[in-house]
Amino acid sequence: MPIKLVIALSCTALLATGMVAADKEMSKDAKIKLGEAVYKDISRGNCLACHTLTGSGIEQEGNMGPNLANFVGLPDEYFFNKIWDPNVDTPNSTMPPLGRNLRVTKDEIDAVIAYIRYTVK
Amino acid sequence: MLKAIEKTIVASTVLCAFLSAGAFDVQAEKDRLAMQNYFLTKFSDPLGKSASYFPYVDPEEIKKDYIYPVKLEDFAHGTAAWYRPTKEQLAEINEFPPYEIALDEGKELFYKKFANGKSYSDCFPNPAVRDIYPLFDTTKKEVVTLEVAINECRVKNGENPLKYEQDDIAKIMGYMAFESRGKPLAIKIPTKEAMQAYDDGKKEFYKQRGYFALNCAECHISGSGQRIRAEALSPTLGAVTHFPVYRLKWGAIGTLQRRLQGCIEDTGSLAPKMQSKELRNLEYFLTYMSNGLKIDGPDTRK
Ligand code: HEC
Ligand code: HEC
Repeated sequence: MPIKLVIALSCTALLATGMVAADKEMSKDAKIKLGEAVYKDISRGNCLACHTLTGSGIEQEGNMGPNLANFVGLPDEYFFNKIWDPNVDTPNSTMPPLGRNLRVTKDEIDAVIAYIRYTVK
Repeated sequence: MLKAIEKTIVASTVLCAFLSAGAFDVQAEKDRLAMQNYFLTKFSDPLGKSASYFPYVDPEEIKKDYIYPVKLEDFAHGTAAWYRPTKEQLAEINEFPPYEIALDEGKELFYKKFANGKSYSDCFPNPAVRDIYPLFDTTKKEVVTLEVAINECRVKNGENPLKYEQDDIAKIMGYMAFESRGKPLAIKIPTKEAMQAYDDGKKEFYKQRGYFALNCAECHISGSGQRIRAEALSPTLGAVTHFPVYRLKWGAIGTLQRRLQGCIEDTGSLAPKMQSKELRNLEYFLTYMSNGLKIDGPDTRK
């Protein structure tokens, strides 16, 4: 392989990985931003209506549900399942089945989890 | 001897009649006493009982903002019975009660002559009847709310019925509630059909609604004593005693059913129409739960 081509190729590869990395960085920020919107938006998650989240700085958070900071040690799946449909584990849960009832999408749930982790950290 | 038998028969017939007349509300009475007991216990010692009743409320907030123990009669005040910030806010607003103009207008409407020279006061010689509404009409075999009774009075006198969505009917009810102040609610369940209506109302109360899959109890039984953001949730016991209310959000006086529609929409579902069978039965159940509590309407709410 001519050396030039090798350099060109590896440059492209480097550039590509770099771009991917930059893209990931971007998307992490964007994800947290989206998550925050979902967390606070009355027509989406509206989590703040019922939950406290230490570190969020939100005023007059509700207290029907637990402080979500207490759960960040648990895996994403735990959060995901609760937010998708808490009635699977707790049939009479007061927490609404936000995913199952299409208030939030799968991506939005992932984003809200990212926001919670980012906020508590 | 014969006389004695006759006496026993008469006595036992009377007793039977009495028992069977009272028999329809046995379960409703159990429900009502259980409801009272739940709330009296819950708000007797919220700090000591926080683990069972207020698992996620900061104990500091209980110490600072909760009023306890709550006495039975005080449940007539809604959230103001247990939450100091609401109580203080309400007291401040009611120094010049926002419902006062509506009350005056309601009184005027109540005595205003219809085209035939009569008025509501011919249908309700005593305006202080809030304590027995909604009542179960044993002829029509359905729940008649005060709104419906007011419109029946109009129609009987050749007038068009008022729109349930508009303020006039709430104003008239405001005057009637005011005249009824201090009377304990005394809803009756006279027949089997009435008990069916009560049961249907109870089902409406516990039905999961909307895309949030919430029922009334989650916010107003277990949820009462907690907040949804800044909204401290009122107990079901005493939920109706102060209606109609002037709501700052409405900028007007409105009926209980208007408020119920709002709550139902908040669960992410469409509310039944005003004075639909569903809402009348729900109102019947809700009001029965507060039997014995004193009427103190009209009042003010956020
Ligand atoms: C209407 C009130 C309400 C809303 C809105 C709500 N929750 Fe909840 N949530 C609760 C309650 C109450 C619980 C406590 C357990 C139960 O009742 O099932 C809970 C439990 C949870 C749990 C599990 C904690 C445990 O005890 O294991 C998680 C995680 C959670 N909520 C996250 C969220 C997130 C994220 C959102 C928004 C996307 C949200 N909740 C919106 C009321 C709510
Ligand atoms: C998502 C929570 C939620 C649900 C579900 C809900 N409500 Fe409400 N309700 C509220 C809030 C918040 C208020 C305003 C604060 C208060 O007075 O409780 C309120 C107020 C009320 C009031 C007025 C109380 C007063 O003192 O003026 C009544 C009556 C009432 N609700 C009945 C019901 C009934 C009946 C249902 C079921 C059909 C229901 N609510 C469902 C949240 C809810």
